[in-house]
Amino acid sequence: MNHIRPVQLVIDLLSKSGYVTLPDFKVGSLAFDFTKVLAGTQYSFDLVVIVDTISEFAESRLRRQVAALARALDLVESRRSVTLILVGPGPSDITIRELARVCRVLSVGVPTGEHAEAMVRDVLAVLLPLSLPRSSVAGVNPLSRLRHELERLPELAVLPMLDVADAGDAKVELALKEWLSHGIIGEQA
Amino acid sequence: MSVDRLKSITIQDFRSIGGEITIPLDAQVVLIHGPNGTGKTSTLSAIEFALAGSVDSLRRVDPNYLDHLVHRGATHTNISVNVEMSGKDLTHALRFAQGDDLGIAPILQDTEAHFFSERCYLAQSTLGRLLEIYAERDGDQNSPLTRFVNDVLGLDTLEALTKGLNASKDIRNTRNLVPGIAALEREVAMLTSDKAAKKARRDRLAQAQARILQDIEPGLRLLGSVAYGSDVAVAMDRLATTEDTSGDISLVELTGYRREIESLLQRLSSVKQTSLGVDLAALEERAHESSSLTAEWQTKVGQRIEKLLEQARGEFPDLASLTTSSPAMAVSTALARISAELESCSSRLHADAVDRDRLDELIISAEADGARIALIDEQTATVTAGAGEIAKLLAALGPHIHNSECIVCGRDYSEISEEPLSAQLARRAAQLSDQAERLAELNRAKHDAATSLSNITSEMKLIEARILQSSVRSLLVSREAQFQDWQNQLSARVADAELGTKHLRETTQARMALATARNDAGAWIEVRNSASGICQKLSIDPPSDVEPIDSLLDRISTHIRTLMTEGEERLAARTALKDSHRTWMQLTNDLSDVDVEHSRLDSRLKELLAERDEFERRRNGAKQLLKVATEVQQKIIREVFNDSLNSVWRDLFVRLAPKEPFVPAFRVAEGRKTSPQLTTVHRAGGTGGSPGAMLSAGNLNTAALTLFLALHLTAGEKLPLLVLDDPVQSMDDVHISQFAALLRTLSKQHSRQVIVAVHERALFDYLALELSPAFDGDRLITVELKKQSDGTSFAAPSYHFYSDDPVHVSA
Repeated sequence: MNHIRPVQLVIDLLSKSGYVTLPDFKVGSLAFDFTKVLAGTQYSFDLVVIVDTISEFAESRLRRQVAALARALDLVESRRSVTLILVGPGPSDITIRELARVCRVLSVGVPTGEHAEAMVRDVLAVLLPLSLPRSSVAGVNPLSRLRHELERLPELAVLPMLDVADAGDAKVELALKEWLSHGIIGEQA
Repeated sequence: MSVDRLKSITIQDFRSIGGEITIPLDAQVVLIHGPNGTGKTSTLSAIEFALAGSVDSLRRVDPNYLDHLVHRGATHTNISVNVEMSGKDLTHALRFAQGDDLGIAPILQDTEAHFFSERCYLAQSTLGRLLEIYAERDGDQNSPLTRFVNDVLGLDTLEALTKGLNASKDIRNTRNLVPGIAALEREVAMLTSDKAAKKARRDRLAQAQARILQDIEPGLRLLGSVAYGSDVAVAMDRLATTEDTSGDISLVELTGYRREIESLLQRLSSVKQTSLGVDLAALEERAHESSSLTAEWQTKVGQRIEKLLEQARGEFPDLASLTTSSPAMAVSTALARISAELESCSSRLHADAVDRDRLDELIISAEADGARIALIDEQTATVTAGAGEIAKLLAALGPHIHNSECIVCGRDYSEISEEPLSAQLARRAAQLSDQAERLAELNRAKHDAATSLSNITSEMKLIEARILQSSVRSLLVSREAQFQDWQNQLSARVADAELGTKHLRETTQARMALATARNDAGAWIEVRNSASGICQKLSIDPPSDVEPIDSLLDRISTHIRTLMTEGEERLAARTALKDSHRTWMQLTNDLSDVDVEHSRLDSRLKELLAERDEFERRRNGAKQLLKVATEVQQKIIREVFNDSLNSVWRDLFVRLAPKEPFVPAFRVAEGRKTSPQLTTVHRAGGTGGSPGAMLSAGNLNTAALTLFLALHLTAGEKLPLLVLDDPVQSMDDVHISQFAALLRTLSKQHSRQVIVAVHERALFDYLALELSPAFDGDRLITVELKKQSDGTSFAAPSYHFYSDDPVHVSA
């Protein structure tokens, strides 16, 4: 059961995010023996191939299978990109590099412990919808915001330094100097 | 009004784009490819310029970028952009020549323009800056992170404001900024110190005056300042500037009175020495008594004595009377005179008796002498007269007789006698000599007798001359008896006379004493009256009838002394007062000067303080503005760098770098002005070091890129544009594939119009494949930028539409 759970976890995460399982996946007439194949339906157009590296332990076979898929897709001129999700012990770096030439490779590994699901989610993130915080950070012009704040302090709102804030701190300082100097005898000249 | 989608842009002679190119943008994803220098970045800059009115990405690297906007060799630039705004198409055209004042109205205003520049357009320079932030050092105001945060959040204006205002925070900095305030403060300090010194001096002067007032108060009271009221200063002024008119007796007068009193005392003293304590009545009694005794004596004895004296005065008219001489004296004088007279009488009588007896004797002697003389004469008669001389002559002739002839008569002697003449002569001479001898003796006897007789006669004549006549003699005898009688009587009255004299003397003494006493009594009254007069003049209580003169004089003396003491005190007080007044006036002048000076300082100080207050007010305003600006800055920073940003950033970062265990994050310290710090957190929990230390170069790039995207995404969908200028230059294949997926997600899920420029052909192709339309209605535009042989730019756009994918997916 141990080796099943991460795969199921991946499937569950993807299924919740608009991916559908393709139970009888074929490209053209060519069938592929992957642990699971899903496809994006909402935002993603990807084919997501899940490979349990524990059952599909032969790296060479995996490389061939993926290459075959890529070629098949090319042949049918599919524009779908392929994401390969490796669940279980990762293959060698050479294999990964080989695989990455033809598809996006996401290696889930063997997630354990309390953060297991979060780790899986992180790996799959690129496939998952991007949820944004409800409260967005308004890109209000800070100076406008300051002026808004100063509405309750009208005596500050008229300070000349505000008007030259755009021109940089030197100008602000100059304005400050002029403003402070005003009224001091000997400083007005 | 917000731009929903860019539809196309036509650019003529803008920066590296020569000539005119038109790039269609009306697709969800636009990929622009071209080798370096073909105008990719210029195209994106033109978009920014048209939308935002400036090219912040260029400005950051070249503040004078505006001078180089027009393509080299061209005269002006035309940019025309077609956008969809609120569902409507809008074409915005910009035309400007080299050197134009580029006050060009962009499509977007203020906030949105800023938003586009900072949150929608990832320029190369922005990415560079994003990378710089990892070199962040905590607390560095000018650190790249701070600059980044400020720029990305548009905080540079606020930062400029706060930095520019920073000098207002610390007075030392403010002083450096406004040197005049230091001078002002110095002058204020100086004036304050001067003013305090003047105040202190004024206090000292006032204290000195107060002391004078205090010191002179007794003097003023002495001088009767009551008349001048309670204002001692006024009193002093009046008293010091007027003469003493208090109506008191002057010291000169007092000195006169004192002398008078002294003379009175002297007089009184002499009176006292003579008769003080004499009982006038007793004196009178004594006088009276002695007078009575005298009178009685006069009557009983005096008269008798007087009578005696009267009688005696018959003989001695000059005898003093008892009235003119003391009885004793009179009596003794009389007695002396009488005794003398008596003795005289007695002696005269005695002498007379002696004379008479003598005369008798003398008569007998005279008779004897006469008889004798007569005898002698008789005998003499018998003797040749001149026998002696003849003898001598004879003797002398002797030698001349040589014969018997007389030489006298010539006769011859021989005739007569026979004896020789010479013998005769010698015998005669001898005879004659004997006779001469006898005669001499007789003559002597006769002389003696005659002398005796003469003497007797003389004596007799003397005696006869003085021999009293009988009448006289009897008178003398009678007087002698009389004198004897008076002598006896008076001698018997000597004691009486002495008694009388005593009485008289006593009477006289008593009278004199009485008179003196009476005289003294007069003097006493005079002294008293004088004293009383002085009392009146001195206006002191007049003497009562019974006031002893000593006490009165003492009282007056004391009073005079008191008055003189007072007068001298007053004089001294007045002198002192005048001195004090002079000092006072000097102090008043000084005070006035100090006041003038103080007031001058004060008004100057007030001016300066007003200036300083105004300065402080302004400085406080600036400080307050700084505070508010800082607060807004902090608020913005906190709002942006909150967990939302971190979570989005994390999500994005994890998408692109799924294997990286450390995820970059901002840590915003609460309440701190300083920018958020960059840190990393481990995916499994716990914090790591700074991204620069924890992440690989590629992942740093990823972190920068994802930070930009996170900032864009957390701002909401107000401007759904994402323009990226070659964002994947240093990414490896894995990252690129992830990035492509992310772009698709942004485009598809978050409806961003994504415009990406890439210069690498393979990457362009890969992205074109990855981002190709996957659903019905999707569209991809790819643009190839080229430089033609004439140097003009050329854009070759390609449209990619959705078509059924051979790999069918049925949901």
